[in-house]
Amino acid sequence: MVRRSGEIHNVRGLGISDHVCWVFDDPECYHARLIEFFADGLDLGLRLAYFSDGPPDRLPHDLRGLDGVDELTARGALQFHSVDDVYGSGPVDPDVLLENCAAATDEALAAGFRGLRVAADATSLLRTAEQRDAFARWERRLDQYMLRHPVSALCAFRGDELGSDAAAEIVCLHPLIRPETSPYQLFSTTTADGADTADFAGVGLRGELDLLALDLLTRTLNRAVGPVPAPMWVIDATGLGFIDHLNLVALDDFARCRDTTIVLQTVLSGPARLARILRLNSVQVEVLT
Amino acid sequence: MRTGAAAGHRGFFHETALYGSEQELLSILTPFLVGGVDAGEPTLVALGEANERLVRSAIGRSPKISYLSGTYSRPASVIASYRKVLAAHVADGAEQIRVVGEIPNPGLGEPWDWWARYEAAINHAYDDFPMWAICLYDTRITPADALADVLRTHSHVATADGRHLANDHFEDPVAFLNQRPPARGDALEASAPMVELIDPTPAAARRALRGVRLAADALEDLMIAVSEAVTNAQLHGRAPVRLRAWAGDDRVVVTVTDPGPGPTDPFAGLLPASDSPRGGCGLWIVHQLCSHVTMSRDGDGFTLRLVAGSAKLPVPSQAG
Repeated sequence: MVRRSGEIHNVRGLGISDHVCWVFDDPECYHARLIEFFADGLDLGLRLAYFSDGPPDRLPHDLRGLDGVDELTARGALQFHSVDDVYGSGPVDPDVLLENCAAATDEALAAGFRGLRVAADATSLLRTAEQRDAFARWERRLDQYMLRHPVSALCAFRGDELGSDAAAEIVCLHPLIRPETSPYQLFSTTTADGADTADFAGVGLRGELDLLALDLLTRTLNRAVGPVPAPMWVIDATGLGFIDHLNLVALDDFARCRDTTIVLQTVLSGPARLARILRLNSVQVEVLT
Repeated sequence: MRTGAAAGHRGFFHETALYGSEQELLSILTPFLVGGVDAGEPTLVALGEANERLVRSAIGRSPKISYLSGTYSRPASVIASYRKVLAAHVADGAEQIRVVGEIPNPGLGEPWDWWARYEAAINHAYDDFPMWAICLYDTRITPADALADVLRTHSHVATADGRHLANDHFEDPVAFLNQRPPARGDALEASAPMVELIDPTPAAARRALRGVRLAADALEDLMIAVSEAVTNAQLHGRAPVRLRAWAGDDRVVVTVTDPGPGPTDPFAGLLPASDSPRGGCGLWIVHQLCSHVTMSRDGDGFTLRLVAGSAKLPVPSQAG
């Protein structure tokens, strides 16, 4: 599946496996993106799944601007799900959610749709650190699943309620994000040499990794990334604009704990010089020309 | 068993040789190099182009002598490289390693202050190894103040008549390093900086300098060095951190100043603060990526000065 990655200002024109995180303060801003995302999804022939923590009778208001909500609902092209019913109140269970997502995708395909398009405001699921760690693991599993299946998702959160640091814990796991909502992105992708396998999707790394990203990177690696391939884990870092020694050492520490070697594919030559100076044992920098 | 003038010595035998002619140079080096080969000791030659040609033509072909061209790039990098090479020789069973070296000479415009720190620091940094080094200085071009530093940082002096004299001017390296005079500013600093930032994030510092004109690799190295310098000030210094930058035709100068006291480690920048890269590496990395680095303290606090591009200074008018 061809997927986009990077920073975006709207959600128009996204594909059947694209995965975007939209942090918002203004509900109208989220609403505009929601309608864009769903309207495009209908044009692509996708079944729409809208997740909300509001009552069912708010659906027409939440999706105002989307034509024919009643007709879409009646013919199964638009489904409404309660956040409480699907996610529960405590930390989410990624295994259960992935099963549900896979089943819903299969149902959509069986019903004649080209895939599933999901939108959710998950703010209420991210209030505690424990909730965010579990949700981060879920986002990672979902993103890996989406790489090879026709599921696209708009994951939205209230930035003013969570705070930028808490929001970044989830934002950083999406291939498409709003500018300045995370110092980096770690997501599933097909690597330059097609190194993804049946068990492990390739991983892409974008953004800039310095002192302000260090705690977030360490947390993401230790709490959300999950199993990684060994003896070598190839990371497509062609979108990485900068990495300092603290973050290279963090990657080295993580790789050593997981008995693997990280191969960081980058277009920058600086990280290779830095890795030689540091004499890292578990990170190799491969400069792509 | 160690041989020659270093026989019976433990650790680093640090000798200098001050020469005023090619004949004097060869009188000092030939017995040193031949002695190393005859004793079966690893014998390394790290000289500038002209003196390497001179030695090769005098000694003739000798597969037992290793010529290391372009060794003396940056002091911190040289220390890291030599320690690795010395460790490998010791692991192979070497009981002494002989090295003759020629540091970039301030008489030819090379910045001297960080090489003076190097000469003092290696009395500590190489003392884990049975190394006998002769550091060559040409009295015809080396400025008087640099020669004075040379005599303060070498425990012995090799003479053209074959003697190896204990040097009464030698100082404890920590004392030498703690008494360094304040670093001189770069000439570019006389003009208004093109960038001045107060308490920048590392990302803001990089953004401010991304457009400077440098070769691609030098620009990337400057981005890393500036980011590490600002990070270091934030982690170990005090607010406010002030970054200033100047761009000339062939170089970029960046200063990062904070009102704190700066590092207390006399070897800061030349050696990592600890054996593990897990901490204390920022200054050491900066010293390996820039053409010149100085550290100084004054009424404003601690200033780290980085130079990317050409670090050459105007050639002094008098030597020796």
